[in-house]
Amino acid sequence: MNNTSPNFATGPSAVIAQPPPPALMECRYSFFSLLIPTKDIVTLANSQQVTSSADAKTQIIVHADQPLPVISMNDDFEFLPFLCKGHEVIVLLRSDKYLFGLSCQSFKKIDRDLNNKYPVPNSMRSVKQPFKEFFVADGKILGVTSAAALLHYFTERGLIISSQDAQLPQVQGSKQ
Amino acid sequence: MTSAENLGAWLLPVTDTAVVAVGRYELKYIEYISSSIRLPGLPDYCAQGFIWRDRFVPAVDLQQLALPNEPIISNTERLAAIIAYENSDGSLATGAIYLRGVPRLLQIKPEQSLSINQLETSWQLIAHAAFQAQDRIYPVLDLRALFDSTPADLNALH
Repeated sequence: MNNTSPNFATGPSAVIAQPPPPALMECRYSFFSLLIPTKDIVTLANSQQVTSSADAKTQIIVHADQPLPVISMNDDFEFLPFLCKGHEVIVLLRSDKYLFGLSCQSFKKIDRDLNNKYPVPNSMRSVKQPFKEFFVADGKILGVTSAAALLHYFTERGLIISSQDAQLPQVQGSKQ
Repeated sequence: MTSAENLGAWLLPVTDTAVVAVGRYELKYIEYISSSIRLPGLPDYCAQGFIWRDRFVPAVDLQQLALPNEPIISNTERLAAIIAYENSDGSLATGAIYLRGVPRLLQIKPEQSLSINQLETSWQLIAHAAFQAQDRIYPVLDLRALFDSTPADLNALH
């Protein structure tokens, strides 16, 4: 009688299924969060790596020897010419050929089920909002967006991100 | 009984002194809301909503609209009237109005109706009718204007 138990841990069919990477990551602010697809995120940086641009109207961060604009938005969706207080993390995002940074308080992967996604009701819609749909978790709004949607939103709100050679985007101006 | 005799309106206390009305069939439920969810970047009167029966219900605080300098109430249990209205797509939509007291159903007659010009200015643009009862004038809320308009659109009317 063979008492040897099959070694399930090493057999060819014993590959433990890895959970798929989270599709969305959470950029946290005080009163809301932004959910951004993982594929849009290039890397993370520390806010101490941010410096003011020459015109002192914006901030930049150097990534792979390239200066990239960093956009800082407060909890009322207002763009600031300086890094918002309490923003510790810079999320570097890629939309098509553009790279840009977005500051936030903290950043985490979504480690819970988000069940119901809601459209922003008409009576709560504003051009200031960087999302049109949201989840609710822990009593907070988690707005669903993407790098492309954010780029469009920044442009619509007067933050012009352009590039001469598509590698050196610059924030050319800002208005509320 | 004629349809005229069937007229009825719910009176909703929305501030310590102001009472507004909605049609008898527009008020669906009265609920205690334990916590509201705030969406930033909005005027205080329309910045909150809540999850109710798996749906997100936008809420308006008419005290904030009528008396915008009052501090916003949040994170406390509040009474809310959950209303239904027909939106611009013709489908039924849900909204909520925060209350300062318990609603009361009032029978009204056609001869009690008034022009909305007789309302205070702040109520005229969110009312589509008005009536008088017991020496008070009540605005009848235009729920589609209140809930189907963006805050910017509603603000533009003012």
